[in-house]
Amino acid sequence: MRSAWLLGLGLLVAGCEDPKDGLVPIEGTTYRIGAPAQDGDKNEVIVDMLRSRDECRAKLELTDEQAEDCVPRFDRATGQGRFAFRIVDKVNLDPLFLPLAEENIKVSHDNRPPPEVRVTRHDARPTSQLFILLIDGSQSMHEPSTQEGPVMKVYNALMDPSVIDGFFPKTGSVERGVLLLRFTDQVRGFDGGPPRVITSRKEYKDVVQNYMLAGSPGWTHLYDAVDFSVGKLLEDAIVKDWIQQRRAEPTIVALTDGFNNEQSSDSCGTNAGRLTDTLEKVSTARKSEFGKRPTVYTVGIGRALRPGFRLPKVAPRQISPSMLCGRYQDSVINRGVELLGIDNASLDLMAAAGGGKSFVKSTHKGLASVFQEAAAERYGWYQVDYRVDGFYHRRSFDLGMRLDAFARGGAKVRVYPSGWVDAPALAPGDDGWGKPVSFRVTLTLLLPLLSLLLIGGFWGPASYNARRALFRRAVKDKGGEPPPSQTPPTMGT
Amino acid sequence: MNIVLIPYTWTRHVAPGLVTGSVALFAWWGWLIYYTVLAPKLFSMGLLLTLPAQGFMLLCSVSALLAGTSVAMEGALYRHSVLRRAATIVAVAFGTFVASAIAFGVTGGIVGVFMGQEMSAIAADGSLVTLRYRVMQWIMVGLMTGLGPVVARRGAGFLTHAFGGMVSAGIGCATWHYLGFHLFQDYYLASALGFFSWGLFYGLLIWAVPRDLYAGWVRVLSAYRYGYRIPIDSLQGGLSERFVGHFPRGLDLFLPVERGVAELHVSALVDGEQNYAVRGLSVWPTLTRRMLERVDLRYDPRSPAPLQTYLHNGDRMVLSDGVNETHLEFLLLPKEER
Repeated sequence: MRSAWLLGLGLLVAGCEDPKDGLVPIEGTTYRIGAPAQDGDKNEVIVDMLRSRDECRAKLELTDEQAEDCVPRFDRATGQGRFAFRIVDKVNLDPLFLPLAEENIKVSHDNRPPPEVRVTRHDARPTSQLFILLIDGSQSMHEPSTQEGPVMKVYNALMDPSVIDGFFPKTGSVERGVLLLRFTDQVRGFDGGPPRVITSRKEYKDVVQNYMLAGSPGWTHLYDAVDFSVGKLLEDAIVKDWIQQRRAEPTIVALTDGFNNEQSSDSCGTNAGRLTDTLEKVSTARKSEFGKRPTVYTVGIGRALRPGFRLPKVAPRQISPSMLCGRYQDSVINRGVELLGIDNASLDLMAAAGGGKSFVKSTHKGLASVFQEAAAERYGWYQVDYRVDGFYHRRSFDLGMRLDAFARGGAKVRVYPSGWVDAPALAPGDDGWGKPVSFRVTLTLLLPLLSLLLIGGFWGPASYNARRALFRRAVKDKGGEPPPSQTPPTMGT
Repeated sequence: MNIVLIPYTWTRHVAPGLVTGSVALFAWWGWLIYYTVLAPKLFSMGLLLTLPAQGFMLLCSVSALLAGTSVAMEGALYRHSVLRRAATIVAVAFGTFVASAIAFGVTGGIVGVFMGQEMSAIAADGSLVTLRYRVMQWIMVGLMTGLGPVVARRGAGFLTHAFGGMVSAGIGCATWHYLGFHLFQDYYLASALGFFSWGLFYGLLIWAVPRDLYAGWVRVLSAYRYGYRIPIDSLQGGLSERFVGHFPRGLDLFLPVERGVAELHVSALVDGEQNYAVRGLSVWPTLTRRMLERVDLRYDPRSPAPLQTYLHNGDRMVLSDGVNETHLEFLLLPKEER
């Protein structure tokens, strides 16, 4: 008998998940989640997908209440999924703080992008940063010289209070510095002198007000300016010291209104070789230690020459004229193709290589939003909600995510719904996303059903007794009650 | 379960279903607590069942519980000793669990044989929601659920149990799949109602409260001696006959001649298989009335044998001399109501 019990117990334990490497149950659901794996080649960072409340508490140092947003949750009824992740340094496994936005996180459900995704950023952490603003100093920036001219738009954007707040936050103990540079064939400070780190709001305003509209125009050496800012500038003693002492991250914002144009005979195709060199230099700079590597944003003022341009899936080693310019590869830039639009392809490629983003804006508000984004806060962890049709929760599926900016990284994890039962569905939330319900809600199903059974159990005898009470009364004798002839006989007499 | 609360009506067929339905519902709820509320703790303790074991444990445990409940109800109604009840329940539940486990595994294996290699890989996914690869497992486990109590009942009602077990599990499976796959798109309500309907139909189909727990009575409905009743069954069981008339001595139920009752008017009898009948023994008018039916049992002097008709619960007998009438009724009451 004892051996039978032991055998049963052994079988039971054998049919249980191994706490070390088994599928982790997702609390409040019947789903389980496997071990996340890093997805993709040459990842620069580790994307750490969090699988349970314990992991959230341990890795993010959250309280139980704070961990509520971090705990993964899946729901077949609404097709909704939620997970949280953080970014970790590949080398020393320290958490990294990045300003990831919704568009930087590419989510996939069984290798297909879900139609609805929402990213919520948590644990905002202002970090020390050095903003390097590279402003195009070419003649076209000053044409026209009215409020509608490019340089005035940049001026208004730089003087926007929200942009200034972004560069120099009013609260917090972090230090921020701004390098205001103008580039033509050389890169110089706004005042024409060598680069200088501006660390106060007043100084910043003074420099912008006094020198923004000044300067002697020249050719647009955009690529050289980017080369300089990711290379020599960061090696400059003053800049290097400032960065090292404050553990600041350099963020470069290169702003132009046209093309890289070094001489009058340049055509669009001429830039292909130059851009290849620049991209290589940017990529090399990005290989430095995380936290010290520059992030490159590029901004075009005006409208894109090639709005349909899409970045190649794999970063190209060599940029060809056709890739960069399409049908404009032989078009002269000066007073030619630059009048049609901005070289958005170059800007996209440089931003992609620099781990940042590329923008084309035509108003000073739009430009201000770019500067704000470049100065955005960094976040400790991210919560991703997404929705697909519930149909796609009827078998196990791969949940994947990739970063498309700031750093190369991605992760994939397999999620296992139950093939038999589900927990109560999410309740509709005010924000259009379902919110978890308490397990007590199951009582609203259980109790009515049990009540029905109980009522059914009593209905039988109750209705039977009621029917008898109504229809099985004494039958009255016709014509009164004559005395009986005899009483019932007594037994035994 | 109490026999006093189960009249001899449709209730005796429905009552077991209500109990097994609620047991199945509680089983579903218990598993839901296990998988959603307790799972994180149990996982860290190494006591959380693997995903492929989920369906196996759900079906087999509900199967064992339903079979155990069926014999538990029987033990409660027959007032078996607590020890005997407990032993029967444990034996039947354990046996059913083992049989269901074997049926689940074997059926899964057989279904696997008929699948292609590609489909095998898909079907092996413990998360796959499928009717095609699960329906046979439901039905075979249902068969075992039906057959478990048959052993305790020594083979009585074998086909009813087997058929009822399979049909009830089939209904449960259909409910589970239809609601989950087509109507609600999730398996919360679908699983609850699936297991509930399995339990409900299991109780309805395989076993009703047995007739031998009831005894037949003849009861006076007329004003004189209203409510007086005599049992038809003897204490030893078997064939028994009770006589009604105005003969003053020796009859089972005396009723006065002034009420239109002959000296020996009718007799009520029961055979060895507990079928009840009433015989007309007098040439005076004798009528048995039930819904939409009247049976004249007046004795025909040209026929050597008296006329008789089977009695059903609630039938009325009207004894008369042409002027006065006495009304009797036939009742089936729990034997405990003596």
